[in-house]
Amino acid sequence: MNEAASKALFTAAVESLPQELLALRGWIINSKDYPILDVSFVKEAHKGRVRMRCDDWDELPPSIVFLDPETGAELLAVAPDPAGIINNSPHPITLRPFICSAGCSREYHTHSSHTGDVWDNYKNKAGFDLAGILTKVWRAWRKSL
Amino acid sequence: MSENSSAQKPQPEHKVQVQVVTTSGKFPERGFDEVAINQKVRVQLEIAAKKLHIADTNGWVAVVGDHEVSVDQSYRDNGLTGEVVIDYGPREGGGGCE
Repeated sequence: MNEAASKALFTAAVESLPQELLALRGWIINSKDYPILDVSFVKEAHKGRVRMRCDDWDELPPSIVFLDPETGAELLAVAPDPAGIINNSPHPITLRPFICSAGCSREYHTHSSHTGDVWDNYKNKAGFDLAGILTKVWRAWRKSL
Repeated sequence: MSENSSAQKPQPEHKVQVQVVTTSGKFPERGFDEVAINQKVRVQLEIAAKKLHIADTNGWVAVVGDHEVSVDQSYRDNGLTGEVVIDYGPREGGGGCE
């Protein structure tokens, strides 16, 4: 995808996140420099942090990794949620825990179990914009054990 | 006479102040809307979605504090009083890997 077009879509999405929503949910944006959206979840009992790499957005879904809330280092293990959205087993390509939910991460769609379920099935549908994906990841994180 | 006046005049305890916050913005843009406490939560969510140009809220969830509210019940039935800030957005969905 054309980088300028991807950057424009990314910037529009992150700049339109309402301040009231960030405050209500306890989201702190650590970085919104294209192609990285780095967000901390600070209201939860166990604080969280994710980095969404959005190069080629929205031709591709974001690539999502979990970070140490304090240091920003990539985590090699995370607590799973009851629904199995946060998958703690190593992804076959990234070897990292990953978001395993249709339409929500590059890792889902590149996983050998889901290569037949393409991103185009979800692109531009309600709840699968960047804010919607982040919302789903945050909700899963809140329920993680 | 005084009983009639009291019956016709809206009482504060019969109202709630409602604000809906979404990833597309909040409604109303400033402050809160005052609505009847016996009104279904869904009504204000539908108004907010329309005003914020959210085309599809299928599968969305309304959360107040840490609690999911039943949108087909009233504010009273959900135990909501005073100022109510509703976080309205997509549910997390389900996981996909075996």
